Amino acid sequence: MSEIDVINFKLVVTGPFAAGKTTFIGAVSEIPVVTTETGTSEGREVKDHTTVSMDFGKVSVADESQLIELYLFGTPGQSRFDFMWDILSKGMLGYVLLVDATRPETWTDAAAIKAKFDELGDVPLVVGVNRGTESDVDKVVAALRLDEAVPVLACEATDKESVKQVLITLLINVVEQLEATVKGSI
Amino acid sequence: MSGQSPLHGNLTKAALIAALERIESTGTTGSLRIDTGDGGGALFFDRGRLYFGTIDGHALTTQELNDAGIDRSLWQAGAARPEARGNFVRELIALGCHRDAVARFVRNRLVLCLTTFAAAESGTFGPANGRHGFGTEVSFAPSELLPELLVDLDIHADTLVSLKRTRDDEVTVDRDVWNTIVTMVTPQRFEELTKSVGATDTKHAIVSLEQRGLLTLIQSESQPAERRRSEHQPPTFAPKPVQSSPADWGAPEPHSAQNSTDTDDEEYVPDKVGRQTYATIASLRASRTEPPPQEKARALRRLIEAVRGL
Repeated sequence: MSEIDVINFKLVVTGPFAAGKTTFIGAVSEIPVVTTETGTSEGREVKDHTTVSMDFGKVSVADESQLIELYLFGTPGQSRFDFMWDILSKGMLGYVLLVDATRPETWTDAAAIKAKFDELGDVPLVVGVNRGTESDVDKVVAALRLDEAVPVLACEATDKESVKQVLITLLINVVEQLEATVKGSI
Repeated sequence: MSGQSPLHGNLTKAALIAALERIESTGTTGSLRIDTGDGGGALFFDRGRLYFGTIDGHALTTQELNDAGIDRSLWQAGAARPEARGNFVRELIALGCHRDAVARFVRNRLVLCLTTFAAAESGTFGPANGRHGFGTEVSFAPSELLPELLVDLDIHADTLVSLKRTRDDEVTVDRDVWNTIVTMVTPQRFEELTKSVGATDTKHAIVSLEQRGLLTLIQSESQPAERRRSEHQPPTFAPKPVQSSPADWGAPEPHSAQNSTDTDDEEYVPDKVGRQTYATIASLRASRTEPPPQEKARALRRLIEAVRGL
């Protein structure tokens, strides 16, 4: 029997506290999201539980010779757990920065998170504006001072199709960057 | 195991997980001292459950109390009461601190300890006889907290999932030829894998999955894991009251002659199956090679199509 190749890819879903990261991963993961949530006192009016270490979800495709797995890791949103970001970002191919359109007070945090992730690796980024519309997209672009090359999509973390669109956009950017690297090295 | 208890080890994530599982499955009471070279700390267990952790040089902060919703004055009042000896948690709750808040505090603290220790590049750990004055009223099974340990992104997804509920995840297959085989996969996951190779029976599935590197098989040398566990009563030491004050909380109680015959000296029967499994997983992980960029790009394009089709 021939050996099967297993290829794993890692993407990170990050964003401020209560931006919808766990929900986002859960919308597409083929396994129940391995989540490390606990009760929260900070921001209790926003949500009762928060991720303290990470969330983990997975999408995979397989045939006779190859098993390809996409790992989705969600970061904790509260700043006191930001020591996890370095660990979770190791080996990532790209990341989704999720921003809650209905809570503009968190956008400053989102900008800080983006700055930190930019330091952690030169990888493609897609900004998902959760619970947002096209007009919210423009506001987020301005608030985060995003480069026009950064894709920004209005999305709904509870909606699978919407989450798929964000992931596909990111994956296409990852492939393009990879292929550009290959061409550059030839 | 000659010479060393399985609760001693070099500080790799796999070894630490194996030690925690061992402590949980044997219901051990005591503490585990972790040294990372430039620091360390301790984890405290009561009948296999984690009830407190300390990190050297990392004192409790007001922020930690606030995060858990614990009033600082209650905290200080509890610490000051002499009758709180040896059970600060009980005293804190008696003073009016909500049990959920205490649970949040303990969990947050344990997560912080576990992730700190798991992220250490090197070091050692070993059993100690320390008991913490925090009290054991609120505790967590290590397996509840294991996902926090698995922060190294090289960990394989199947392992990650399977480790979440360790006890349920051992698939034991008795066969005349193979004796006992223990696989570290969930029963559900095993079924999925079985379908993926088109196997129609367990033996065919196991052979196929092993050949494809999707399953790690360990042949037991003796009896099934459950029986091995039950034959050996976990060593314990009698709890004794300790003065509970914030100044004490950075360090475990010193070794005493009264309990020196407990966790350190007890000869554990090593859980060879678990340890070998982890060693094999670590070895497989280390041997994995990065595919060339062209192949990665092709695989990513397939993945994009798969995501579209979800």
